[in-house]
Amino acid sequence: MKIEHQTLGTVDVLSPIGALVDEDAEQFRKMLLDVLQKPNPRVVVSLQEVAYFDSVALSSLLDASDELSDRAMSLKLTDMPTTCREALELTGIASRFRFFETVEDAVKSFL
Amino acid sequence: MGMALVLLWLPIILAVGIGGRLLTRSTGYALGLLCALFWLLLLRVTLIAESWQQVDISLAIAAGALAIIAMGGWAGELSLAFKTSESKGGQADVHEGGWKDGSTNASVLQLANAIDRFDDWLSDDKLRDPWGGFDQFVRTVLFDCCAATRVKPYRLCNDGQELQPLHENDPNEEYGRIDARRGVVGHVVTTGRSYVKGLASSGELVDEIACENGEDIAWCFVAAKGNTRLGVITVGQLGIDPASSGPVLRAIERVVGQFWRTLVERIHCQEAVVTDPASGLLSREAFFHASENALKESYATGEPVAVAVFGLERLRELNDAGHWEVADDLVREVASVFQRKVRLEDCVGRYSNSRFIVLFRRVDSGLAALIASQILSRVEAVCANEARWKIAVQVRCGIVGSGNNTPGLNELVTGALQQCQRARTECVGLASDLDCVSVSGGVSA
Repeated sequence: MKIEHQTLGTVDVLSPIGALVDEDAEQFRKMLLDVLQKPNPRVVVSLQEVAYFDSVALSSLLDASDELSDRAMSLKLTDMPTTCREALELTGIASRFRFFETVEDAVKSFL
Repeated sequence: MGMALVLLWLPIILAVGIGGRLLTRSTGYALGLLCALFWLLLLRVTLIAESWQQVDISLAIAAGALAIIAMGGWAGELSLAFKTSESKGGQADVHEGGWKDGSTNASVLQLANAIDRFDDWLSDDKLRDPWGGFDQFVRTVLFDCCAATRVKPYRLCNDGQELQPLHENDPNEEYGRIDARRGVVGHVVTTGRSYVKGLASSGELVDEIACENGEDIAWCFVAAKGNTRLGVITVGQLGIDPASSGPVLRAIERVVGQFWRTLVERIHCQEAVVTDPASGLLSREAFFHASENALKESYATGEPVAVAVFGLERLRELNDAGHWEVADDLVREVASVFQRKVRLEDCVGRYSNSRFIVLFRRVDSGLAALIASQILSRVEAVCANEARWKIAVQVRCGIVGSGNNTPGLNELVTGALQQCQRARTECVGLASDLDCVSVSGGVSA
C-alpha cells in the first residue's frame, strides 16, 4: 500500500491509497504517529483513495484524534468516501473528527 | 318463365339479407354463378328444344347468365359496403381475403404476438429491474403494432402530482419528470380518456391545449387500475393513420394497460415474498439471496465482511401469552432501528421470529462490533420500555467476521448464531469472534 505524504506549508497531508486494513493499517498508524511526534503537528488525512478501513485504522485515527485534542487541536479528514463516513457515524465517533470537502479547505482552516 | 326469374333472385336477396356477414365480392360472384346455372336449368326445362338452336336466343341466354353472375358480384360489393358503414367506430374493417387495411392486419397480429411475449418476458426474471425492462417492452410493442416512435411511458409519483419516466435511473435517458396536471397529459390523466391528435373525438379544445403548450404528442393514454391511474404513455409519432385505426389504437391501449396492471400485481407479489410483513425487513430467504450476491462481490474485490445476529429474548413469551400485537409493535420498532442504522450497502433481514441478521460489508470484526454495539444500544433503548412491552426484553448480539479467509455465508451465519448464544450464556450484550463485550455502547478490545 502506498501512503503519500505531502507538506503544504506547515501542514502534513497523509493520503493513503487503497483499503486501510491489516498491515496497511499498521503502516498508516506508524506514519500518523510519526507525524504527531512533531512539536506542533498540523495533520490532514485525505481518504479519497480509501475504499474502506478496518478497526485498526479506525483506532489509529482515534488515537491521533485523542493526541491532538490533548493539545487543543483536532484531526482533519478530507474527501471522505460515503462508506467510511457512514462507518464513523454508525460507530458514534464521527464527532471526534473535523471533516472537509477538499485538502485545500482543510489546509486553509489552519490559517 | 316469370316464376323462374323471381326464383333465381331469391338466393341473392337471402344472401344479402341473412348471410350478409359472409358475403363478399368473390362469394357474391360464386352465388351469381350458382343462380345463373339454376336459371339455365329452368330455361332448359321451360323452353322448347328448337329455341336453343337459334343463335340470337342462345346469345341472349348467355348474356343473361353473365348478367346474373355480375349481379351476384355487385350484391357482394353492396353487402360489404353496408357492413363497412356499420362497423365504423366499433369493429375492425373486414375485406375479402383478410383485413381492409394491411397495416391494421399487421397491427392486430403484432398485438397478439405481444400478448404471448409478455408472459415470457414476465417469467424471464425481469423483475430485478421491472420498470426499466417494462419501458423497453412497451416501446417495442408500440413500435411493432403501430410504428409508434418517441414513446415515453411515465409512472405517477408524488401523490399524482408528477410523472416520472419508467427509465428514470438510466443516465442516458433524455427525458425527465413532468407535471401530471398540465397540458394534454394532464387532461388525459385527469379524465382517463385517451388523446389522438387530429381526431374529432378527442375534442378541439384538447388540440388547442396541445398547440398552446407546444406538446409533440400524437397519442396519449393512461394505464389504470379501476379508478387509480398507474401511468401515462405518450407517443410522438404514429406510423398508422389514426383516423382509420381507432379500434386498433383502443385495443393497444387496453392490452398495454393490462400488461401494466399485471406487472404491478406481480411486483406486489414479489415484494410480499421478499419482505417480512411484521418488520418490513427482508425475509430470511431474501436475505440469504441478497447476501450471497453481496458476499460474492465483496470476496471478488478482497473486501472483508461480517455477519451479526441480534436476538430478542423472551419475545416468544409475548406471543405465547396472546400479546401478539404488542410483539408485532416491538418487532416493528426494532426493525426501524435497523433500517435507520444500517448502511444501504449492508443487508439486513429477519432471521426468525425473535432474531434479526445483518451482513456488514467492508468491515472487519472489530469495526463491525463497534457498529453493532451502537445498534445494540439503540435496540436496548427500544426494549427498555417494560411497561409498554409487558416484559423485560433482553437483547443479545453475536458477530463473526470473514477475516482474511473467504468463508461461505452459511458458515458466517452459523458462527454469528453461536456467538449470539455465547452472549446469552455469558450474560453479555455482544459477543464476537474477537472478544466479548459486556456493556453496549463501547467495545473493550
